Amino acid sequence: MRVLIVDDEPIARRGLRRLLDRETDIEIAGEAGSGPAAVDAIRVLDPDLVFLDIQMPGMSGLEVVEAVGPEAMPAVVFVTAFDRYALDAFDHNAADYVLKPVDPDRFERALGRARQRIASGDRRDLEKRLLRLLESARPRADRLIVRSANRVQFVEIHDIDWVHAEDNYVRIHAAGSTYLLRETVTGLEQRLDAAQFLRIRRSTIVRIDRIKEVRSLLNGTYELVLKDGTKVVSSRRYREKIERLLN
Amino acid sequence: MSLPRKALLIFVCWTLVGLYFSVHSLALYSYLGRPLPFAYFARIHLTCAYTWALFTPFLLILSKRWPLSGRHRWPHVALHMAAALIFSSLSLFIVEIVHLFVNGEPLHDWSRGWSALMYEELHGDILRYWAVIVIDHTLGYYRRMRDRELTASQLRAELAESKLEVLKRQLHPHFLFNTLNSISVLMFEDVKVANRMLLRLSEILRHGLTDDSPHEVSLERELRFLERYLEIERMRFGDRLTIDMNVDPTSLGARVPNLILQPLVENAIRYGVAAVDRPSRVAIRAEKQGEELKLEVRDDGPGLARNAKRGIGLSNTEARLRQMYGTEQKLELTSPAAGGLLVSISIPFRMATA
Repeated sequence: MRVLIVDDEPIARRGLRRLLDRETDIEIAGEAGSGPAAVDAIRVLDPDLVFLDIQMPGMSGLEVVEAVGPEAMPAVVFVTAFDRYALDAFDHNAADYVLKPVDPDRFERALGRARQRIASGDRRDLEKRLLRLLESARPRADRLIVRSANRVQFVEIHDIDWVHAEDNYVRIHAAGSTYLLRETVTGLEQRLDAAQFLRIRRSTIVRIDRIKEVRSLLNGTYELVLKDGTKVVSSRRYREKIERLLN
Repeated sequence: MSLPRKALLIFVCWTLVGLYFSVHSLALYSYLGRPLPFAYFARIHLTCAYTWALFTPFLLILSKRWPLSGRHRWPHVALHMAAALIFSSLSLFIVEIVHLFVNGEPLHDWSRGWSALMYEELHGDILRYWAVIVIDHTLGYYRRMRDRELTASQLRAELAESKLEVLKRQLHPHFLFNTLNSISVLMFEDVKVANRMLLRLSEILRHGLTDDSPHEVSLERELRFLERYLEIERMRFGDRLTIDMNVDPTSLGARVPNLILQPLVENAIRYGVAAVDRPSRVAIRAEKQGEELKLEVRDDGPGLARNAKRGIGLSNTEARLRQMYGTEQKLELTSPAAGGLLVSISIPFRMATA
């Protein structure tokens, strides 16, 4: 079993390494000292299991899961010094975790459970649990994490102008740049503040204060002109929402 | 108290005063062998009482404007004496007029002249005037005292709370458990290093749990405490963390708020150093600039825009500085061209006594 250790503190990584060295079936695939490095390492090294520290400055362990995507994540044992909020979420979603300082017995038990999960080969189960975990303990509500081939980018939600569906992705237009996020429009809509964003058709969401002009078209559709000059047409299904906005 | 309730209270009080005098007159006249019906006395005394009831709101205004306490209390007493004469004369006059209209004749014999009436009756009305002023003053005094007690207990609570805040800041659970974890790991590698970290942590805990931690300490003492914290962080981050300490020796004796630097440095390490993979540097400066002490904490991390979150840690510091120095302090956040974040604080330069 190949294991990746992620923690921003070298000493803490050494501690986990020492505990893992005692196991005969474990090979330490690598270490990462930050969130972005962890995202890269998971993709490049493709480990079976990750020991993932939660409170890393800059990018938390949960954000690492979000960036990699629950469907691409290996099995995870979270490591945390103190975070009551995350612990509640872990308990609720039966996520494996160990506390710092690390108790060898508990470490052994968490490792044992992870072994079973990996042995059962139920990827769907792992993905579902991680997805639920992200939903109940959304790492940061004020930004999105966009992972591309060779980097991780953070998009501040208050920078988003408008978004639209593009195949299996969502194209995000924010502060003059565009990003491709692996997410559905409906999934993203749930994460955006309904007072600030308006869904105008199945495939499109716009930020309300970026709308410059609303032109009425035939049969209950509208053309919205955004401040950057972009024109988008609403569908009849969302007619009422737009009319509510106009009144 | 609402206005109608106030009016009712004034009405009830003066009614009681009127009835009191009526009963007294009834008893006195029976004793003198000239019994008269109660209604007769009640009419006289209640007329007078209700006249004063109407005056009362004005008297309360005067009482507020000319308080019997404070620097001008003697001039105020003089003003009240004059007002007492005016209101009392007015009251006598009104009572006579009312009787003239209601009974067809005045209460007193006017032929003896107005001044005779004043000599006979004015003293009672002057007393009524003073009764209102003194009662109002007493109630006001009592109210102020109660308010003062309330404020004092609030201040005590705030002080206790800020101590708790300080404690929480130092013993940031995340810092505490990560340090314990480091010690737990180091014990297997190097007992001496583990022990040193344990000792530094104990010192920090002791510092935080000591009850009499003062609001202000000398910069020297603040830096000594900071050094303990930094030693732990240096052990944790190894060669990834470099600390530049640049302290003007003349400023060592200056007074600074207790534990002002540690949260700033912790912020710089958490968001500046730990957030990037490369080795980084935190620079701490202190110098006297004219009448001010300038403290600076600078990191070379991602800087301001990326970390909106770090403002939260600083708002505590800002509130504390404002509370202690009012407008004499300044806290600034800047992103120097070279990158990173610079937090600078200016406070009045005052030497510590001890």
